[in-house]
Amino acid sequence: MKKNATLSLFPIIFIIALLALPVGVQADGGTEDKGIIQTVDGYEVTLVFEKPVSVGENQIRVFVKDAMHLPVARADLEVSLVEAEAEHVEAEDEHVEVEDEHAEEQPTAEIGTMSSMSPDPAGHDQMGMVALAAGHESGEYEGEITIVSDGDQIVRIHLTVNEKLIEVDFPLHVAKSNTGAIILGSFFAVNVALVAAAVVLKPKPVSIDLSKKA
Amino acid sequence: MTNLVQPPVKVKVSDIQVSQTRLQSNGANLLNNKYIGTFMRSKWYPGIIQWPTLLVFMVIMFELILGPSAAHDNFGTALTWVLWWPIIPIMFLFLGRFWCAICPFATINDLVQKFAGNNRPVPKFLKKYGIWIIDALFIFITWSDHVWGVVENPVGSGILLLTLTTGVVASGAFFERRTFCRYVCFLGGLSGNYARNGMLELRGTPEICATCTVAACFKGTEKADGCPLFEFPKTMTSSANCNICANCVKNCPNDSIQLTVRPPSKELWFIRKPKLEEAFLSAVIMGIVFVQNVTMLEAWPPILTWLENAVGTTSYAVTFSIAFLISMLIPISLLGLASLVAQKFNGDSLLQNFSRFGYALIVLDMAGHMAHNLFHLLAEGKAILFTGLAFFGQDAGHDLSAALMAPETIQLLQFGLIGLGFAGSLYTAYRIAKANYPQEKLWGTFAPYAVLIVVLGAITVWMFVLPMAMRM
Repeated sequence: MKKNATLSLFPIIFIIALLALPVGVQADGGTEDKGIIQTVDGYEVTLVFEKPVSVGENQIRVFVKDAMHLPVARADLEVSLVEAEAEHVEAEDEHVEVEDEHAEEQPTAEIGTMSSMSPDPAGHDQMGMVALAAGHESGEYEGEITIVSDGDQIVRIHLTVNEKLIEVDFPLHVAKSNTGAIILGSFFAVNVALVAAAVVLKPKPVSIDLSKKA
Repeated sequence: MTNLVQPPVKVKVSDIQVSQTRLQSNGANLLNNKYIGTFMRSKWYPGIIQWPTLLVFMVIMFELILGPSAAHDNFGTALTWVLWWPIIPIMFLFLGRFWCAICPFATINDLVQKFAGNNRPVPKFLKKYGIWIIDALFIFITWSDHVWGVVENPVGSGILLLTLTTGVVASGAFFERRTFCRYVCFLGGLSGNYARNGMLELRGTPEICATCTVAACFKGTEKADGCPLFEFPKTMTSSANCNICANCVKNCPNDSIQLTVRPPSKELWFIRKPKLEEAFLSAVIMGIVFVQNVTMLEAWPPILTWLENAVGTTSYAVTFSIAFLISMLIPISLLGLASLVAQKFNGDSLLQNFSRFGYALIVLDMAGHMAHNLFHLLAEGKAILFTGLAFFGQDAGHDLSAALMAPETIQLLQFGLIGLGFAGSLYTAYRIAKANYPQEKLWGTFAPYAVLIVVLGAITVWMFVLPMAMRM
């Protein structure tokens, strides 16, 4: 019986061990001061996440300054999201294309290709282009982007100033959220409560003390 | 060992006669085979399969909840929906409800029961409405899968498994044996229906059981617990609730239990007490196979757009619910219609006919289900390897085909399965008619169901002709 009880504890210990596994630390968001800064063609572009970056919808603000460090108020800004690995693959593909530019046929996709098992070609540009609206301050732009998966991503700002397009890339690591641990923990708690209630309500074996009767 | 339930000791002579006839017409007793008999009587069976299954289940749970958020990267999703779900109906066909003996949920139920079980009797409402509850749960889970994206979302799949786990923990903690598996589990309902079509049959030997007064198979002994699914092999006429756990084999002091191989669908030919809820479930499963196929068709988005325009809302919950309801209603209403026509020929009521001949659909259900899942297994099978490699930190490579076979080969296999299911269903309907009606009513009763099966078979074939999208 004792052995059985010990065996019974095994799955519980296993679940606790799973819960104890480390969960990725989320990237910091913050104000302009805390944002990520990139400088391209003399333009200083700052990307700020309102809240720590996570999978799902994220509010962003972008600050644009020119070479004189003055806010750029009349610019068109659009944002796209690219998986970092896909970007790497694309770069390799371009290299291959240059080498094989005389090749007659390109490989075609067929039913059953697990293209999405690895970086998804369709997901190369995960959410399409999202236009940013002008913010409260001069040179500030804001909007919402949707991150569909965790891991390394690139936020690409497409900045059009004076009919000139500039692309600015912001590498980003999206950490795994701890929602899973919360879900597991909640279910674990409910199940423990159920078992505890059953233990309390379990009918006790009846014992009769015959010596007292005598 | 606690035994709060009295075994059903009243045995009808007719039950024993039926069992005797069937056993004689089946193959040899597999338990007489040295290896099979020794293995099933061993204290290691079914634990030796049960425990590794539980371990794999834990890994799946971990991966679904804490692993990659995209289904196509998640090892748990691949193991659950590309491997396990397609294989399970195949298992039901060859091994009956054996899965239920090694199911991790059942193992958790048993563990909790040993640790904290109150062993209360099964609530009366569960006994009375169990199959209806299973029907409703099955419909709800399929609906929620589409509306909330359970399969496409690893966390959703994880929550589904965790919810089922909570159900079995509650059941194991408070109620006797495997109450959840017998009366609540939606997969148990499905497997019960499919196991009737299965090729394994476990029964007591009528002559030996007739003289037995100990009922150790039901009550249990120090060797093993009593039947976890509340069955009594002495009177058992169906494999719907036998999970081949071999507890009765170990417990029987008279070596009465026989395990035989029978032709698929044979049990369905002689259902003595057909139940409306079980017949209804078989029609529901047909509807579910339809809806699973429809939503994977490339024609689904235009259908959805048409529905959105027709009902004036873009809410997927609304449009899908309408499509789902129509898919359910097609087989249910067609079965009702066939029963109405059959009523004119055999004089039985619509409900009697519906209940009796609903079982004939199980064969086509199973074939449609297997054919649908064959696509996932064979067109996406390598996803298990790729996600498995990624799970262990290995690079799975990019843009590799997940298909195990060419689409044409898969389609050929699908049509073969549907053909077998169609023939099996047709023959089952004929045998049911033959077993229940005299010659002059036989063909008049059979004809409407033959038309029904042709129509349902044609719809199934048509869906498999159209191009499908993938799950992963």
